[in-house]
Amino acid sequence: MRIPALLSQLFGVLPLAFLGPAGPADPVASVRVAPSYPDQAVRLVAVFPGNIVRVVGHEQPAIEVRWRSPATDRGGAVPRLSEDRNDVLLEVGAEGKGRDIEIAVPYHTSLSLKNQSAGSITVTGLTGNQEIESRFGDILLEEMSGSAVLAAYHGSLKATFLELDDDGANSFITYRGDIALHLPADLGATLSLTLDSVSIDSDFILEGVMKRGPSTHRIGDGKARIDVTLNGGHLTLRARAEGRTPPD
Amino acid sequence: MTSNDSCLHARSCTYFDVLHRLELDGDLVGEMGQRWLEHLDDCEDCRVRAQDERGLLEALAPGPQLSESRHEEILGAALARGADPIEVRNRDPRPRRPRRWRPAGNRRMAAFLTAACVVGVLLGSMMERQLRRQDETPAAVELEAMRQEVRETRQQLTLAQMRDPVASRRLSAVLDVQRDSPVDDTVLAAVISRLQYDPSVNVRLTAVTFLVGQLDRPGVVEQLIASVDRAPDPLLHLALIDRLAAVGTSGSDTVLRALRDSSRVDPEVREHAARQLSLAEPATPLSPSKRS
Repeated sequence: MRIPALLSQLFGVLPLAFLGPAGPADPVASVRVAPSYPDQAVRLVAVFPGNIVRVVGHEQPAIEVRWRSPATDRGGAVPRLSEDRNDVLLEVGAEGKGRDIEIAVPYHTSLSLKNQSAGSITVTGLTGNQEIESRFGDILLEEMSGSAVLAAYHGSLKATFLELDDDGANSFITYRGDIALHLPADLGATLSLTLDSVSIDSDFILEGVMKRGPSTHRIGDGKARIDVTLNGGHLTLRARAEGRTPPD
Repeated sequence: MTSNDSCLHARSCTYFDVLHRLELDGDLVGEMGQRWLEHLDDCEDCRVRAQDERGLLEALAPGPQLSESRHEEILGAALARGADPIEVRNRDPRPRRPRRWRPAGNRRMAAFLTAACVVGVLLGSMMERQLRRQDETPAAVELEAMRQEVRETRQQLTLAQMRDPVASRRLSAVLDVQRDSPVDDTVLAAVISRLQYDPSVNVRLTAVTFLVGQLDRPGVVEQLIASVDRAPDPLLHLALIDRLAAVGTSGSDTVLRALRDSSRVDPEVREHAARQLSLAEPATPLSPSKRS
């Protein structure tokens, strides 16, 4: 059992270290909801008005949202959580813009997140189908399993996968930014690239002709689908050895 | 001369074949023809073989009738050898097995058997063809029906997957459509719907990629133009412009002009569309009035 989860079980709340160093002027508030079916996967849907968001998998079935209220905050802006048959909706009003939000979810959770303004989204240690969109900010996925559909208008994408699902499709789009994918070393995938310029650094042998514009390449058995659309940025494909955290 | 000494067959099969062929064709005349006939009288092996082959030939087609002069020639030769003229005259001018060897009605029987064989072969062939047609036609129809069923099932699955709450699956469905193109109007409409209403920009962009390849289909250009105003999305619009520019048809230029002229489109995007249009459209020559 992981230490944060243990502490969480012991004290009934997430450890304060989860949010990192917090000043006494920035108290932490939280809301929590339990899924109807604790032993089944959860789906979390949220639209953020412009926040730095961090989502972490934990061993508890509950979904807990914590945010740091600035000292200047007069209150009133409280994110709301609602649940219906394991579909969880997180509502952050416009007044919650600019706050750092941290969300603890069960490991088997699929996210559908949108950041409508500035702010990055970081997700760690989940299994499921992740759909994340960010207008002005990076998207970072760490230690993931399943599939991902990521889009950033102005921001870079970085995703580390322990496993990629074969049945779904993966898509990574950014208009202004780079894309770095750390994928299992034994990956079998069909890689569809739409590149404005050929700027690639790949550990994988990509079959097919690399060119500007759309091109398709096969890696191994070609089972998983990965679509990458880049507009002038750099694409990095790293083969991730099992049990080793990839270098940045 | 013993049978073996004079046997042409014993000397060379080729020699026998040449002589016999000449005989069958009616060209074995003169001294060589006479020697051939004499040999057949003496050599049973060659006689039997020649008879067999001639019988086969006669069974297949009526043999050439000997000319009167040829008949006389053979008859004269026989008489010169001291043969009974009646016997010679009654003999078939062409060398063949003596009558005593032939069963009565052999020729008619052979012809009848051959005809029966030919008819049998023809009937068998027709029946076999008919049976094969009977066997294959339902199988082919059934196979085509199964293929159609698979296509329809796959289409239903794709359409259902396009409404899946998980973006990854909706994306997968649009990619499947792209792979299985050409598609019918139902699927085309579903992809247009994805372009206009899908919450994921990734899915919308994949739909754009597919639809730009369908610009010649009725209504696609209009729907792309409608989507420009309906979902003012710079990322999508820029991707659309790049894909349209790569196509370079009148339909793509129409959509590019709509992007350039729409007030709901981001100014940077409009500029990009105008730039692509200027690259695509050849410089318009000045009219005489403008020159003056």
